[in-house]
Amino acid sequence: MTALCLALWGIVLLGSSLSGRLDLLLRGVFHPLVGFSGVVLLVLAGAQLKDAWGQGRRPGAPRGWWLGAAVALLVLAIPPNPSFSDLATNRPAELGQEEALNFVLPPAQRSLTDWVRLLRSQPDPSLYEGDPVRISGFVWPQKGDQPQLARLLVRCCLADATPVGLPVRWPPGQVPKADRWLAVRGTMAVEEHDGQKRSVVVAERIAAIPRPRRPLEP
Amino acid sequence: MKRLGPNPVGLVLAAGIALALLQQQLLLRRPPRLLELKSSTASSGPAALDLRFSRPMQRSSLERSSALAPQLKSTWLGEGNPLRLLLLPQQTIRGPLQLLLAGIDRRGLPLQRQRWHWDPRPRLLAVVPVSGGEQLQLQQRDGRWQGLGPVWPQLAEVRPLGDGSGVAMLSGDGKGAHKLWLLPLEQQNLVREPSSLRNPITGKLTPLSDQTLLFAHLSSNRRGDLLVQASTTALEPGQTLLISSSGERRHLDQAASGPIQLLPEGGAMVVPELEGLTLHSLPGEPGRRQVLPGSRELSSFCPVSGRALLVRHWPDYRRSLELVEPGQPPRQLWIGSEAVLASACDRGGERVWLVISDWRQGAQPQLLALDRRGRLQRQRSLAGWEVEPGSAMAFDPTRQLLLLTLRNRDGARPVLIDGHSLGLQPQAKSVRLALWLPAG
Repeated sequence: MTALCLALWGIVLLGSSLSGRLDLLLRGVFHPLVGFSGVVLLVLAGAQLKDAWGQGRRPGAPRGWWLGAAVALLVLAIPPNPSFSDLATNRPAELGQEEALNFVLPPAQRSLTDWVRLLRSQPDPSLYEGDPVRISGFVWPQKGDQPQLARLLVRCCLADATPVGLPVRWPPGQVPKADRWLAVRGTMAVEEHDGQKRSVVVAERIAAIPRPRRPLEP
Repeated sequence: MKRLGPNPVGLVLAAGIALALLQQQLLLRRPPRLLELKSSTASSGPAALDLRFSRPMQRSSLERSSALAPQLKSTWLGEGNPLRLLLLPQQTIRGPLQLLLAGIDRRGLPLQRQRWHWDPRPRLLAVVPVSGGEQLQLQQRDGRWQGLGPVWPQLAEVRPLGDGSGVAMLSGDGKGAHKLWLLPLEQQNLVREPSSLRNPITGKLTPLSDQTLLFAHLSSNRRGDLLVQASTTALEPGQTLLISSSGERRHLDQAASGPIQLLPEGGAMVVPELEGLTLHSLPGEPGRRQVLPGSRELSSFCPVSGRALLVRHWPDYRRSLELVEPGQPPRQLWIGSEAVLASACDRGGERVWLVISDWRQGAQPQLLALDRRGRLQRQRSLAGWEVEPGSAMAFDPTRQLLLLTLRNRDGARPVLIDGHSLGLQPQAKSVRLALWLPAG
């Protein structure tokens, strides 16, 4: 049973890193580490199995091993479907100290994350008024405000995810549902919000897109 | 019976936990601190300050508790940390400002009240004819002129670094041989003590090249990078050298059909090529090249990133002034058969000024003020004046003043022009060239 449990978790780790499941949990740079751990577990399972064959019949495995194997089977059977908007709502949105920023990039080539970093480092909405915007992200509902288009930034994994969102002025009657992934084309405008000027994307063209293969950004 | 002594491992663990708790409690009670205060390089108003704190601040409390003297309309921008204090547009800064900084952070702990003195106005820099040649001089706040560096037979080109940290100069011996120099300047325009607001202190004049040059073109950006296009002989295309603000030198393998200009915000340069104007990334940035085809030349940059004024030359010898904005084709603001001698713009092109001259009308320069749609707002004749060759027009948003080097019967002099009324304020100083030195 121990060998079976180790093998199942090895398959979970290796399979997740090969199938792209890990893209929902972890930055790509850490994927080989997880895959390697899966291989180690499979090797341990093999060694365990060899020992078991050599020693003949052994007493039954503790209940914990059975539980572990069952959880591994469930992980393999049920595809993950996380709600990024729920996660974003429950995470602090502090970006922390940024390294030196450079935004020579033409505005239409800036990603949503580039825009958020630029607006935080140079918080002067008038500087960007009229700039073309082409961004994509998931819909992040806001209390008392229109939903934002957002992304999750991670240094390592979902546990340290930081949501970054841009206010969007959606066309009348087209306020999208939470968690939908959208590509938005529009222009940057300035609006008054809570007594302060802020940059807002005036959406002109909105298209639904599938969730990106790697939705987490560094 | 054996007596149990203290467990050393447990003691170490307990001490570690106690230390961590103590540190946590100290940090929790530590008031926020101002980590960085600097004049912003780009803003939509006359000037702005960027502030970085040790903790996210309550913006509204800073807005309530801080004060500017004299009272100028301002707004606080940002989401806690960093924050920007922006002076609202259409205001004029007539002297040093005093900033009382106070407020609380998001935990409710107060920032130590502090007073800062800030003078964001650029200074007037001029190439002045003196006995024995020419000298670089700086106008002090009290109006007196201060010599910077030695007297040379000729000062062929002067380029203040965009961050105000120095001036690059091309000196000539009057016989065609030139040398390139950098004069570092230490400016004190944002200080705690009012007495520390003082005139710039010059550093040691340093040669930037060992070779004798035939010509050199200089360009700088707000980061303080310097680009040098230079040649030692007439037949060679020359070399392009980028000297970063940190002093790092890089030779660029960049062919150009004219003077290369660094983008004010840094990271890229505008290169005139045979097919048109091209935008290239600087080394160290992701490689990128954009082309704007046609017979165009860069006239001036606007303070807002990505906006610039171009002069387009048409096959029928007319010229047009175009405003280029990100993601949009160039917008024609003016077209005519006159020569465009100089241009300048405010913010993202909300106000544009150009000096034109028509030889058929005796080459009398005209100064036009346009809005961002090209509608004529004001016009004035510069009768009796000529624009000094090689001089550019520059706008000072802090005082809403344009600077031009104009020549009349008495010689060339710096002329300040009110951006609204277009009223001329000629300065009582004979110069060959006048420029703004950024406050930095």
